Amino acid sequence: MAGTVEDAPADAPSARPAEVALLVSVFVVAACGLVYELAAGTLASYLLGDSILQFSTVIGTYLFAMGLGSYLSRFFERQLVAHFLRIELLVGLVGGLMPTALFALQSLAAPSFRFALYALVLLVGLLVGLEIPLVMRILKRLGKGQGKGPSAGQDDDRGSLKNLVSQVLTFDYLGALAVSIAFPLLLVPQLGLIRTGAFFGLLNAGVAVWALWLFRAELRRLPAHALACALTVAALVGAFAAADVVTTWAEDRFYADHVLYSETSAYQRVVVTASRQGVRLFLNGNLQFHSRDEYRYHEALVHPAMAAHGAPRKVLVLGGGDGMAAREILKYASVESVTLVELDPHMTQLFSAQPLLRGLNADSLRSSRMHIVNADAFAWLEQDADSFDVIVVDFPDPTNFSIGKLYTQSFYRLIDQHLNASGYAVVQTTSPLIARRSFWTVATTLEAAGLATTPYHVHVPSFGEWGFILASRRPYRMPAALPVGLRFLSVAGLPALFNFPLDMARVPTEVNRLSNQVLVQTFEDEWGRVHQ
Amino acid sequence: MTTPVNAPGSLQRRTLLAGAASLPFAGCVPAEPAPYTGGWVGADAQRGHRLRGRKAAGLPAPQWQGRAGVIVVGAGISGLAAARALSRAGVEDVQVFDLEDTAGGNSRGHLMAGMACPLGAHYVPLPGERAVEVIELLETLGLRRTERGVPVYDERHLCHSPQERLFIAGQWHEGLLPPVDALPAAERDRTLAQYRKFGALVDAAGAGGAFAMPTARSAWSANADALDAVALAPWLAAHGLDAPALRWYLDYCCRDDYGAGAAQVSAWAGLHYFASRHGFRAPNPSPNESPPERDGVLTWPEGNAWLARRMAEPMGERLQSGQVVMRVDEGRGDVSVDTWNVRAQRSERWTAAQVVLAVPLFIAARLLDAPPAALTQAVAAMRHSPWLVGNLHLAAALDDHPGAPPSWDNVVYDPARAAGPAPATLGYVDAMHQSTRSVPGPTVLTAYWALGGDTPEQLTMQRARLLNQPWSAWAEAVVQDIARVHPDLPAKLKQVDLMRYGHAMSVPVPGLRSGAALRALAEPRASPEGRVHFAHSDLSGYSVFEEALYQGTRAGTAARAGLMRDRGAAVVRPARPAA
Repeated sequence: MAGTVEDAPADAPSARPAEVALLVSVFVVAACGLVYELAAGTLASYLLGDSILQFSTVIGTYLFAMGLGSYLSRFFERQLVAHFLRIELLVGLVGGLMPTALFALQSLAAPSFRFALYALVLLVGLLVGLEIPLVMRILKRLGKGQGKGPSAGQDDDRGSLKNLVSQVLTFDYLGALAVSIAFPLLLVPQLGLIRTGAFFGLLNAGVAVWALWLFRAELRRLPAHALACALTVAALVGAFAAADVVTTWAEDRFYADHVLYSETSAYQRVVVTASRQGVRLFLNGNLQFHSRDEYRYHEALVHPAMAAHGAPRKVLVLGGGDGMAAREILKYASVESVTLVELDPHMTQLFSAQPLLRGLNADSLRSSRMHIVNADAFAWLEQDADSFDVIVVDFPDPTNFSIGKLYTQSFYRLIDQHLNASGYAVVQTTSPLIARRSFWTVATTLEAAGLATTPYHVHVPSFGEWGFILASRRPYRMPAALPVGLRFLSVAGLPALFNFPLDMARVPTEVNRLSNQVLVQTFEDEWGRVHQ
Repeated sequence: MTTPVNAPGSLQRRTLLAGAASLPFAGCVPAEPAPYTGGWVGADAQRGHRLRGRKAAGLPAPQWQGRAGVIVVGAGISGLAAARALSRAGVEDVQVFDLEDTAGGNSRGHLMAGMACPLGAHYVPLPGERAVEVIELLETLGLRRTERGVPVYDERHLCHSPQERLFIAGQWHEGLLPPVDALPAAERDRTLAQYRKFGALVDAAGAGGAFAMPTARSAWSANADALDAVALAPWLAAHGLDAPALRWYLDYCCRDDYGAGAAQVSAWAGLHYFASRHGFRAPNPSPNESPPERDGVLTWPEGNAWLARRMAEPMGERLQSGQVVMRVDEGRGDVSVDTWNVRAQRSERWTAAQVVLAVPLFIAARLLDAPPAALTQAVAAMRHSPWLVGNLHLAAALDDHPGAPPSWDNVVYDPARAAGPAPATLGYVDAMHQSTRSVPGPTVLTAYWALGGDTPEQLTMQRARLLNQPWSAWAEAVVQDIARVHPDLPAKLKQVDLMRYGHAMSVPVPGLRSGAALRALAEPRASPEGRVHFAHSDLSGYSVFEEALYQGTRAGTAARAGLMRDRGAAVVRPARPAA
């Protein structure tokens, strides 16, 4: 090319802006092509996991599609500029909107997500593969136009091809280099994937607009091309502007719920979501309740102990900062005071302030009978001298050695010390079906602390088969009456709760101590098997 | 390089320079500005060194005089045990003197931001049946009871689970013995075979009760003499035990328990560590079989200070801190004890019928006007290792590498460093591990550095460094050592309080334990008049709680027998029946 220019400097000036423009467009086109490839790989590994596999297959597919595009370029015979223009617009549109489209598809949980991903990668790769050969042919034609006509000598022709290939590929690889550096360092952190896609789509469209202007003289149906350009640009600008909305919408859809509240307290990540099905509370990603069926859990947690006691006056709740257990406890007129010891002040504040959540716990946390203490239950029991008629122990499952301390013999000794002679304690005790040994380890441990145990279980759809253990010094007798207005428990239905089918029946276990914490290991093994 | 250099970058060059080349100027090296606060804790070394200079300076005339039936010099575990034995035998006319402001000796504690942490010894292994003194103490304190013939411990005071972990190649592993699976493939078979071989050697050596705690109750034999004649490292080499993982672990155990490496500690002591407790069990590589059972230890956030405080409590005002004993003169009818009372700023002369010297033997030798020959011989044979204990207050829990969860004792496996010159660092203990809080949070980490090294020269040089280098240099070395596995440590660090011991513990060097001198000092009439009784773990050749308790109880009992001899039974109330 340069050689051609040197050969005929005087004839060339009219053609030079087109050459420069096309070379710049090679740079831009190469940059855009790599952005789409990287964006697809990133999205695939982000949404599907296993980044090595996803990147490898996306890049492979993309390169294959580019080869296909290069091959197909030979079938474009006439109207090269018009084809180039259309391809640029298409690349800009499809490539630029690909991240948006994939986000949306994923959040709709479309089963065809993988299919759509690879179809889009194939399409974009194919179009990008068409670009460079077409640009080279346009440039070659321009070069020939300036030269000595179609009958130019073979040497000159070969020289111009040599320079052309060299120049085009140089800009091609420079564009790729620029993007490969900018993508992880600048683009994704600053713009995010959706905006990055739309931005580079706009660059492609810009190249098309430029081509439209440069070749306006030789293009047929100029208004139609102009309209196509305008529409593409409008779509991409729209995607760029609406990126936040799209992301929020997609994440809402992805979590199936609308996130009502989400904050990281000093102790845990508290997330409350709401959807048509109901409200859900997650602590560190673990579901704590679903308003659809939490009544099953909380009625089962509270009433077998409360109703059996007869006339409980002083009640202690350990954990249970959502106020749901308290709501059930306050149904007993005999109750004079409920002490709720919840570690995380965020929880009790949230559930006594947020209107929707106050509706769920019937404003229990604001009752005059409630005394909320934000303290570590173990330490609080060690220094408090009170004793209680009923103690409800509603801690998170023993997923780590710190929480595991709340399931040890030492802890249950403290429970024993704070329980009145005729009192009942009840402990939420994971699933006796899935974590059978864990469940019975808690029973063994309570017994080692000197308490008699009465285990029972219920079905809570959100959790599955769930277990509880009553602990007391006097034998447990099932209540003859329950508070009115319950939705799940009935006196007639109670005996079924205490019957353990064979697959949940007792197994011998060790005592869980501070010094061995066997429960944490058992719990991890049993639930780990489920999640495999 | 002859110094244990642990800090990277400029500090490394600086400590190297200071340690190896220009000790006298070490204190003058300007310290980099530290983003954390802190300082040295414990009594000024001057207070202890006052004694060393007194022969040159001469003592001022006593300004005050006092009298007691028995004076116990030193309120470490052995002194407190002696006082306790006297008290249990009905002898109440006892005074206990200690130069520090707090009783406990090596078992003192500290407080940082409301969190208790140890300054020294920090655990007691569950006692075997021959450690009757330990059992008696634990039962009195309500830590142990017997149910249907089986000892049951209060689990709150047992080390909470998980107990120990080891950092190997980017990952934490449960336990301190390097698991074979975590080692390079080429080392695995050899290491496992050597683990088993060493385990068998420990079992064979320990047959017939040859090793017991306290060691005075072990069945000493010619075999024990032979083991005590050689250092552990050459003994291991002679048995073909050269696997790096095994050697690292045994060296670590020696430094942890005895303050010096396997090259200085006798083979008897090296085997005693295992044979007197639970043996040495090779980890089982098969996942189907249960891992080797770990023996429990009793521990507290403030370490053995928890025990020391409870032992000291009944002494009340009879325990005098800041009472620096300068001279002990044994006469025919009584013993005079000259002291410097720090609080009253006066010199005092006490007279007692019996004296228990519950201090390291080299101190006892300086205190006595006429030290018995056995004492001089024992002191000549002994080596005391220097220790550094650093307490690091963190504003938040540390992030963690994958593998075993944060444990009580956390150690980095680094055989290359262990093979290098004078390794010192022993990992860190989390003081809040024994708390019952259900979420991790601010804490205090206690870093232990045993500076005994591999040779007597290293030991002496490290002691000088410990005394001369500024707090800032040691603090930074401790911080950088833990930051190797916790890069977020500096960002969370608030304060570093350092405790240094120039002479923390006797190293059981070859020939010490089997020598005649130590045995002679534990005899009822070890001093010329039989009025001075030696009570210190030094008499066992090494420093652990069980030995200190045993030696103190023995000396206290001997002092009471001396009183009985002197004054007749009428003065002394009859002994209380055992609880």
